[in-house]
Amino acid sequence: MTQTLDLSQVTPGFDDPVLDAQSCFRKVLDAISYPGRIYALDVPPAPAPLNPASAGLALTLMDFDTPIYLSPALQTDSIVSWLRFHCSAPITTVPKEAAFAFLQEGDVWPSIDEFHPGDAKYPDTSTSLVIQLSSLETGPAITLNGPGIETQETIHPNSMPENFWNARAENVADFQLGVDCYLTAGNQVIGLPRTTRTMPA
Amino acid sequence: MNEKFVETDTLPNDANAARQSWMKILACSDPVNVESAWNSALGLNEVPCEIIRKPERGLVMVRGRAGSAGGQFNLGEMTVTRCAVRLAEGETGVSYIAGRNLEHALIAAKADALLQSETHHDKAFAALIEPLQKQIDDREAERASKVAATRVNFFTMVRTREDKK
Repeated sequence: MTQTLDLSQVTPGFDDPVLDAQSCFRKVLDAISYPGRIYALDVPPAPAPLNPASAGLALTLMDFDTPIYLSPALQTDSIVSWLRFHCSAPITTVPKEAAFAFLQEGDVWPSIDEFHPGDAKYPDTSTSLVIQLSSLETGPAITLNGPGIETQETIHPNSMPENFWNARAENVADFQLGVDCYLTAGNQVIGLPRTTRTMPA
Repeated sequence: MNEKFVETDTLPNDANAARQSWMKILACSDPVNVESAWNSALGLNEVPCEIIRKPERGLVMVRGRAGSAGGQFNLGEMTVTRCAVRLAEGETGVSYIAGRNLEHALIAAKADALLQSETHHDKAFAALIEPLQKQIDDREAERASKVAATRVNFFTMVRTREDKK
């Protein structure tokens, strides 16, 4: 079985693959270490509707070992080709197989329990969700606390599905299992690891 | 499915066969010859192109199959350099070159793109592929003649009746 890759629409990735990926990785590491803080990633444009922050996560974290799940609006030929070319990552349609899942605001997402929660020996094998939103600063307030947050932090992600926060709370209740999330908009990213507790304010 | 290793045992179709043959010539040529052919191909080496993957070095695992029929095994790792470029017209050139020569990979990718484009194909073929093919043929002929000069023949003498006494 030979899969051909259509390169006619693929745009360039990082200008300097090593140094740019390292500086991007540092910011992503900070984002997941300090949940709720907004970090801006410096990434060249990727095929729409993949936003630059999500593209930066892909270029920094994903490779041939990390199957990627895409929500329907992101399953375009140009995005699939771009991910396969730059990350060599396989694309999967089964949420449980995915190491990373890109979810676009407005799409119907699989329920959070359909993604891989990790297992007791290897909790790091869980799926990480990359959630693409229109804004991280104009939505209803969500209060965060937990490791990496001194007292509490407040985020304002726009148009998250109503039941998301309850479903996530249930999902991360049996720590050390659970999914980690990255919220992205434009070139901004917020990390939301499974240790963070959320309360709608 | 997550097919990590792709079977490529099937023979290429005609559209790919031509491209494979010029990529083989670019890949098997001496980097010095490739660079000199490229530098003398005036007009071609100035065609603007966008680099979508800068030349980068890496390792690939070469897999073998005993007798081309047994199970696959890992033969060993080799260093490769790869590159991808795109012309303004839209043709994308891709190269994978054995070794660490970044310039060789970049030239091969640009040449691949030019050879795919209708406007540049004939010129690029004459300026790059034909001389490189000739150099490869000369190299092989020289090697063959050197090998031929050291050939040893073994003769089996037929024993006569007298020997049997």
